Amino acid sequence: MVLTASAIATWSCSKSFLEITPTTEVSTTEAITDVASMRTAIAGTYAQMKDFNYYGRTTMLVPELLSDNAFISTRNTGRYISYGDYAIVPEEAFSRDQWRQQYITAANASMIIQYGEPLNISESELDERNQIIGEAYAVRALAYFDLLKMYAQPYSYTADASHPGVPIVRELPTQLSELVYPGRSTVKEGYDWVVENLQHAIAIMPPRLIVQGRVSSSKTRLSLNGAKALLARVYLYMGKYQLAADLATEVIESQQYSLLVTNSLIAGFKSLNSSESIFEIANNQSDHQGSNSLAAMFHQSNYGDALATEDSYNQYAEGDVRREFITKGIRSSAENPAYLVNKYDNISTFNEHIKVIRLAEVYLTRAEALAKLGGANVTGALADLNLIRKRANPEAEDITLSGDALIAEILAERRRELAFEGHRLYDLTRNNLAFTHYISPLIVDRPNSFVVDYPGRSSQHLRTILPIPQQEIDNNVGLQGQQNEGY
Amino acid sequence: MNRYLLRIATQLLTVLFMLSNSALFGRNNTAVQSIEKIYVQIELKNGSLIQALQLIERQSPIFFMYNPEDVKGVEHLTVSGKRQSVAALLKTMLANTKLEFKQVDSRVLIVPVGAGQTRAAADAAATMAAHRQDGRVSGKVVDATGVPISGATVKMAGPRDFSQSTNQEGNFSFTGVPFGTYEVTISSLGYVEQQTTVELQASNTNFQLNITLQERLSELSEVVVVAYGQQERSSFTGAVSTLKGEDIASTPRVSVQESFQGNLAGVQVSNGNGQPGSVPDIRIRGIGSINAGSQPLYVVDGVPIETFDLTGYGTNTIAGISANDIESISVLKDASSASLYGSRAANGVVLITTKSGASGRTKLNVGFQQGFNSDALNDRNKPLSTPEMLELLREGWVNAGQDLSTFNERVIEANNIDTTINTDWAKELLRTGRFSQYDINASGGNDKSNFYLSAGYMESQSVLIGVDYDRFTGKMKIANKPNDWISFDANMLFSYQKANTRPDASSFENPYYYLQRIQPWAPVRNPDGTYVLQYSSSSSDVNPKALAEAALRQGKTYNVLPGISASLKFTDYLSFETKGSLNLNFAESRVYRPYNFSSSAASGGIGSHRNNRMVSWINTNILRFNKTFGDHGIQAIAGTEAQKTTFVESQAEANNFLPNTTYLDGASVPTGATSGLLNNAISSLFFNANYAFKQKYHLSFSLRRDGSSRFYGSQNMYGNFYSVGGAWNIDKEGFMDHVDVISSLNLRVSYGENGNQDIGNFAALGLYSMTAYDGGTGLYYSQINNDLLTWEKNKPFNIGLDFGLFNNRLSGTFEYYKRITSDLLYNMPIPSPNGLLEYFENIGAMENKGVELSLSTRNIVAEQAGGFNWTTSFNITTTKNVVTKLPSPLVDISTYREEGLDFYQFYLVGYAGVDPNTGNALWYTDETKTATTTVYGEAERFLQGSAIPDFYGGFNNNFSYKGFDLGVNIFFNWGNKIFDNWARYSDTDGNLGTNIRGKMSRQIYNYRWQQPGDDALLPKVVYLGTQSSTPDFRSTRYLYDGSYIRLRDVTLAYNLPAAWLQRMGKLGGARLYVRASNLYTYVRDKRLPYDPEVSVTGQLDNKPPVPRTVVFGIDLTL
Repeated sequence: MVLTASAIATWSCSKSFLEITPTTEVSTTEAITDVASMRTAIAGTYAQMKDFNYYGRTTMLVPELLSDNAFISTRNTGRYISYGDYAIVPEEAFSRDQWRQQYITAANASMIIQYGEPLNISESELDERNQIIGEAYAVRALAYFDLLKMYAQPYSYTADASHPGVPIVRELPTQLSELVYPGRSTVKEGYDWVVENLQHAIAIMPPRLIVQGRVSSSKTRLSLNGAKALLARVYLYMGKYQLAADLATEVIESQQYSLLVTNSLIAGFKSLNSSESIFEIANNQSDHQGSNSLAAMFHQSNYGDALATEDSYNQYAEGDVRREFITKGIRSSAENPAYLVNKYDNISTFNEHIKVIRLAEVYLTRAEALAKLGGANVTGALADLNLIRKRANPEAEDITLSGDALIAEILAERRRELAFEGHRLYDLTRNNLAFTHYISPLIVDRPNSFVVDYPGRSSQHLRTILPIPQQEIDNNVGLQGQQNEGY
Repeated sequence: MNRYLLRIATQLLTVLFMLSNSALFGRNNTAVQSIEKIYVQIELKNGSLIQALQLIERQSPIFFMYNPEDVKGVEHLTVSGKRQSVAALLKTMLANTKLEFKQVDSRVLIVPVGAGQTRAAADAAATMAAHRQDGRVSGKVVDATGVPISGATVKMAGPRDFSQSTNQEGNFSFTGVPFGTYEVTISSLGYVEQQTTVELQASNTNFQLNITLQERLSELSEVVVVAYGQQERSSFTGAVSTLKGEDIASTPRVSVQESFQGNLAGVQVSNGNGQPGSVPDIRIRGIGSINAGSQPLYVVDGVPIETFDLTGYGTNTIAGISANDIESISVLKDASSASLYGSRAANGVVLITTKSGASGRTKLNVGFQQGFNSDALNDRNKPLSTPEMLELLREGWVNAGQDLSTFNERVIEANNIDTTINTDWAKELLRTGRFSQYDINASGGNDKSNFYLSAGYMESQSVLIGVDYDRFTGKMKIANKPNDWISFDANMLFSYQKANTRPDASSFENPYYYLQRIQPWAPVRNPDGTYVLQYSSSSSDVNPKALAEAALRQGKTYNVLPGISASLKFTDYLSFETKGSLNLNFAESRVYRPYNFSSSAASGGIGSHRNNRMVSWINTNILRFNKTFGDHGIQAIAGTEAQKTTFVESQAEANNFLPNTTYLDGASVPTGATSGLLNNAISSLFFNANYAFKQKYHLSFSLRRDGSSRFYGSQNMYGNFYSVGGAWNIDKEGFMDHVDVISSLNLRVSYGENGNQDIGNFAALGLYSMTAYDGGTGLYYSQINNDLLTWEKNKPFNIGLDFGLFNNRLSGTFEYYKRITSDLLYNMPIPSPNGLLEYFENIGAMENKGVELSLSTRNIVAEQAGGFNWTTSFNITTTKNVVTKLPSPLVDISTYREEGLDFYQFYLVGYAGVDPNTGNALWYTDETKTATTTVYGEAERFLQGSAIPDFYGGFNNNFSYKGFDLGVNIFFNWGNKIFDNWARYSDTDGNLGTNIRGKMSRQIYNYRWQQPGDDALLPKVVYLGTQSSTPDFRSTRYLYDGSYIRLRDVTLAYNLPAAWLQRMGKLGGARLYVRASNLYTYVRDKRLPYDPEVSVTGQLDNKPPVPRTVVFGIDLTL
């Protein structure tokens, strides 16, 4: 009878018996409630950027593979082959997963904004609250900017940037019934959204990064200057050169960053939180991307599938220390010689941060903006260009060019300075430049290179942007019929 | 191998020698032993001599004769319970009397002192019997083959009623039976009841009955284990397939589920993995889910068991149960049988009942088995040699438009190929694996208590290097019934499993994958005898043999399953039972890759260590009602059940190991640590009633209400499940009396609903998940709140006919089933701008229908024990699966799922062969197959057939003659397609050039195009060519017909004759046998290079090959 009684007791209290919540997860409504939980949420947002489908690999690699800097070896693990061949299809998985990861990043930022902004925060924590909310705005801007670069034609493709951009979600749904099925906004709307977010971030962020209530010099979080440097880049892409130059100047003059000196350039680039770095994404020993990392893709002791083109190696003069980022060697059982990229080479602990923005880029942004503004600005452009040139090669002579020749030289310098950092393709396409694309010299049944003619509107040129992932179109009624031209 | 066989032979000889030893030196006894040597153990307090003599008679073959007048004065005797000989006991008891005893054959005379000397013993017996008023009835019950039947009930009705069960030797003995006429009824489950008459009188006081019971051939009288109880088949309305313990005992297979294959109608079993102890795919009556689980629920001795792979290395908690400890297995397939398990029954339920003790003498069984696993590596899969590969490459060089004269320089020398090396990788990576199994069990008891104890050890080495398995199992069960109204039992199963494994599919740590890919010129060893470790710095270009030997990937599982239950009987018809059980699993997984391989060189060796503990406790309480009111019979149960499962896991990883250490203590750089906890709970009420009218018409009804923590956050935390069923025993109708052909006939119908909750633990809650960033913790948005989430619902309909014809010489079951699964949980995609990729929605529906036919025939029935016997059983199952509702087609890399199609449809580009003029590969442009293209990218994918077989089944024959028996089991599987997902890397047509992992397949060597006009199966080889094959070119070129027929099991055994056994003393039985599994396989598709048994998805995934196993075994009963 005791047993019966206990059995009935078990049943009758079964409601609480069954109300089990996770111990390693948190209910949505309890995730963002104060500054401490906002910290965790912003960390979780950066962790999305670390993913190999985003800055961890694809976003850095694809602009190099599609341009003239890198190609996939004939001996490969099957990754990114279609990128090397300009044969990407809408079903392609890396492209799809990148799109997803970028939107997931933006959504996590939106959650912080939506749940965090209405919270009442005490005065003492207000700076950190503003820092985190500002970061959320900046991260959201970066994610949308990256989407626009990869999946939409450059800003200048049409005169008023009215060509298709990417879907924009301004208010993130949190209930099943509120899910949205957005179609593509125009590129202009997209860039405006990016600018709006960055301006908001700049408006509220404290002057110095606040982490755990204290000022921090860490580079693994976006600071006020990080947001400004990012906006300078966005303005450059939009052709708003004066605004770009002004913001670049603000960053440079903030005195918070300094260029690495020549003989520590190589080691300094690879080190964590260097003086030149403005924003980098952390990979720790315990939470790195492992063999999915960018380093694994380049390093010959891991996959090593991605090799530099001979053309990119030839960009460096004899005394240019940056040439050390590429080694002339052998890819065993494949290309010989092979130009091996060792800009990222930590394949043991993978404790290597992914550089998103650094001071050298800001100088080159200002140089390009000033050169394009022309007139008296050329002096400043030359000064910035020569600073970066001579930092890498003290033996180099000062350049004195102007007009298109100067712009071309600045772009060439960008190629040398920012090689394998995910810029090259956009530097070409946003400037309407034709380029030669290379595939492995070992391939015998096809030409080893071809010209991607811009603005000739060849089929290849249309494929300098990625297709809208087919599955996203399939899943989203709003996107149907909105595939990129050329796919 | 030879040395190994020799060892087995030696061991066999040793055992044989021991056997013959006991035969030679055992007691040379005659039929009747002296009472000096007959031991008894009786206890008597203040009793009479007559009582004492009756007690002795019960325990011994002795029969006393006395004149009641002589002995009636001897009273107030007290005998202690110590064991002593009958002679000694009599001496003590008769010490102060005027009586003495004398043995005459099996009779002992008790006579006044001196009487025994003066009269002839035989005369005395006759005289004294005349004075005695009672006698004895004893005997032995055996089956048609002479095997004793224990536990048979012998009832005598006459002046007084007697009842007894036969002991382990089939013997019974009633003493002190008053003279008179008795109706003796002998009955035993599964046998035809027998009756006989005995008349005890003064002239005939000692009856010896030798009863042979005929097996009852109608399966309807069989009692089967069903949900929460047992039931006679004739009254059961559901569909259940059963296996008896004896059918699966001593199989040379680790997981008991493997023995289901071909033996159970409606149960599809496919392993396709030669890793011993891995989890075979089981699908009962088709596929029941898309995104939730499709495996059945396993219930061991009433405890629902969690069966997922705890180590992560393909191990299986059910494999921790030794087949030798299993009494029976019931597979519940329809609503009537399974719905009582509610939300976990949709994919069917497998009930495993383990052995219990039985009253009688303690019995000891010892089993010994030794053998080997060998690979049936197909000729079509023999790796190419160096000359063969070079021949292909040379041809490919020319086909690439190059000059043959430059081949040596530009291909051989440029790539540093040493053409003098010719490694046979099949020899290096495959082996003959050892197999052994030892089991011992003891059981026994008396009318109040019984016990069963067992221990077992099993070892099996895969034919693939680096993959092996060890297991220890144990079981103990004790039961006690102190009186009529209460009983207890305690049961405990425990096991330890250790599996060394290698990853499968395309992992560079999988030796089987390398067997398909590594070049024959890759050397195994350096000239100094040490291993070559790497062929380049790439982590993939590794010597698979060296890595398999140096690396570790080991999973250990410790499992304890204790349960205690008590049962109270209130009245004849009402009882209550309660049971508490714990399922405790501890698993340990370790990985280690040494520092000298490039994948781990930079880290100085990589290791990880994961421990997890899964504990599930469960409490079940059942009230049973069982009563007959005239023609009406009611059997009902009502119960509650609560189960809570906790899963705790911790893992740590580290780098930089000291040499020769694999535990993390030997590593200096910790790289990660995680731990976590998951809980789930289920709480239930259930009710089941069976109503019988005149034992002819049966109705059943069941209801269960489940609450599950997995739906917390949804409005649907509780679900109700039910079944209704009916059975009609047609053979019991009067009009059937004249139909002689039909000996039994039973019609069953059932319908109902059950569910599937095999989903994540927190599927309904809106969630943030944990992650890490820059040394701190992070949280990210991972799941949207889903308050409408509900159970998958399965509605099975079943109609079955059980029949027996020609006096049950032919019997069988025919069933038609149709199950409709709705509310299928489907990962509905969410457009990613919403920040999530999918959510679970109950949206899909599926239907499975088919027929099952099981037949068993007794082709030749022996006229007498030891004669020739031949029985056959056959079963066949068909399944037609169709997805009836799917919001949008699910397209995968090689499959396509859409409404109207079956679930496992291959969706691939159609390979159209080779252009005879150019040797280029051709593909069909689309499904019309009207045009072909030489450009893979221009070919459209289309449907190519299903991985679901049209039918499968088994065909088993058993022959016995004298002491020999031969069993031959055949399994067949027909009409499915299988796809080799990795052939893209081995059937490369030269695409990979001289890449160290670019070896081409033998198919290419045999069937390639070579010159214009060739009507070839496969395209030409082109050095680094991309026309016909790249890793992206999936097509029907790699799709095969999966039909096969397999000689699954052949056993030839010899049972030592009883006469020999008697000479060996205490030996109750001895059986020697040779058993082989997978001896021969007929494969319909002659192109298929692999074994055709693959997982139910139809994907060949480079798993360790399924071995051919041959064992020699001995079973002894003491």
